[in-house]
Amino acid sequence: ETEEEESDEDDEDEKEVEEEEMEEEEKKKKDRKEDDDSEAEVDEEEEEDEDSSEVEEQENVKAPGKEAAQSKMLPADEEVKTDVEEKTEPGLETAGALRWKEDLAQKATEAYLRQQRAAPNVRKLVYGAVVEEENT
Amino acid sequence: SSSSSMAALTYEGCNFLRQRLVLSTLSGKRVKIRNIRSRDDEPGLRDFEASFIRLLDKVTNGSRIEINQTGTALFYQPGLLCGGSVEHECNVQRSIGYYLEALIMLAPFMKNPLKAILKGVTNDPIDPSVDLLKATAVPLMKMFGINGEGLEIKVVKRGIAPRGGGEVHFSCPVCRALKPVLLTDPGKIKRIRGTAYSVRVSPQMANRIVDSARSILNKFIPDIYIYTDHMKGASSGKSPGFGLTLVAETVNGTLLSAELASTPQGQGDPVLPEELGKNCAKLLLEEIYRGGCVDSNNQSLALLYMTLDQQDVSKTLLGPLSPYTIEFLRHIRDFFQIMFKIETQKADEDEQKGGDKVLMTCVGVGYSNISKSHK
Repeated sequence: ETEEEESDEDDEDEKEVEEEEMEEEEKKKKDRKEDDDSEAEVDEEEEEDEDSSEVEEQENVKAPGKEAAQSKMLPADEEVKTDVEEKTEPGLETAGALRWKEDLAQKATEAYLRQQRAAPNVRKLVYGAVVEEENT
Repeated sequence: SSSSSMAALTYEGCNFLRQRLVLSTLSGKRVKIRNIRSRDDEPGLRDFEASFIRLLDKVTNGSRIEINQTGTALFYQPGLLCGGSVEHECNVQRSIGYYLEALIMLAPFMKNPLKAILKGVTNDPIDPSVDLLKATAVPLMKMFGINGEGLEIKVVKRGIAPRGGGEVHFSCPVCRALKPVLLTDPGKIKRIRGTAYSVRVSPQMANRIVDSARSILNKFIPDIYIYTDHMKGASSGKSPGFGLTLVAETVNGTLLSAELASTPQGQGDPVLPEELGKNCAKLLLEEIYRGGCVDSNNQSLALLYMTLDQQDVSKTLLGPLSPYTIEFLRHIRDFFQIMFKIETQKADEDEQKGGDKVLMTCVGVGYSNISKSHK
């Protein structure tokens, strides 16, 4: 779910930089063949980009085991990679590198609301972890 | 469980003293409280707490209360709840609501119907006022089957903080066993009622409060009536002040309330009646947003009655649990070994039913009033 929201937010931006991305895609394909370390770079990128790491965390909560396997196949992963490309690519730095700064307030609001919506276990908050043991 | 009833439950610190003593009295379990403000400049129990303990002593028979020299440690062995006619001078550091809340929790389980005369502060900015308890707690008691002519809270004299001088009569019939409740659908707001009171100030103050509160509430619902209550002479207490209590009633009989009182004389910036009226109206809207079938002031009362119900399932939908209620739930577990099932109900934004709710479910301990004879 969260990934869909993500892509929705980025839709408009993507139209604007569509052409640029087409170029990037090609370059990236080349890069991929050359560079096997891109995976490691993705991890670094996630730490830098607060919003995407937020999403990653929530996914971890929902499906901790499958996460690793899924991330390789899903298109959102490619987006992250394009971000990496934009940062490493000297020509596109001004256009793409600052994109994470757009709508920061709105993104923060959404992240906040998302967290609020993710219901905590109230019973556990009230009674502590003892509840779990007693139930089983 | 036999060992737990022998040894006293031990707590630390001054917080939640009332909860602990009330639950101790109802469960018959002894309680020991240590380190009461032990690091404070003025260590030990405050006057209002001592006053509360004296009140507890008056409504019970055979209680043993031991307090150490400095007042930092307390041992309480509860006696039997005997009830009857009680008169108590409530310390003015807290309002009568502080004492009355506890009495409401205990009253149905007394041996004799309780008739209490409480003197002191009827309205202050800290505790739920007598007016609020009269408007919300009494109807809630009726839902649990505590009924009859005798159930009443009456404000005879109004006494505003800091000096008080008010008088309140509270009477409650005894109840053999409480009725389980199923309060899961609050329904829509039907009407709003309120009381704007003023004493030892211009009677116009109450009207100004009503006008400003209406300026906000009129946008939402037409059926609003706010009474003005201006007490004079002997029944106006010792200090000047004013305030407002608002109660929203739903089609299913749920009561959601809010209140504000003026700043006590000589304790900070004075507040304008217009400001107070508006802020109180907003507080009511907040309370309606929180929602649930019991308003946040009475959450713990409802949960206590659910705990002491007949051995049957009770369900109540509440708004977000207040910190006081959360601690109360922990204490209920300590004293009665009852843990509630707590389910979060997501707020549906389309339905516009306010914030998230929690559905509280429990099976009562089957507490029956042994003092009351079968008929």
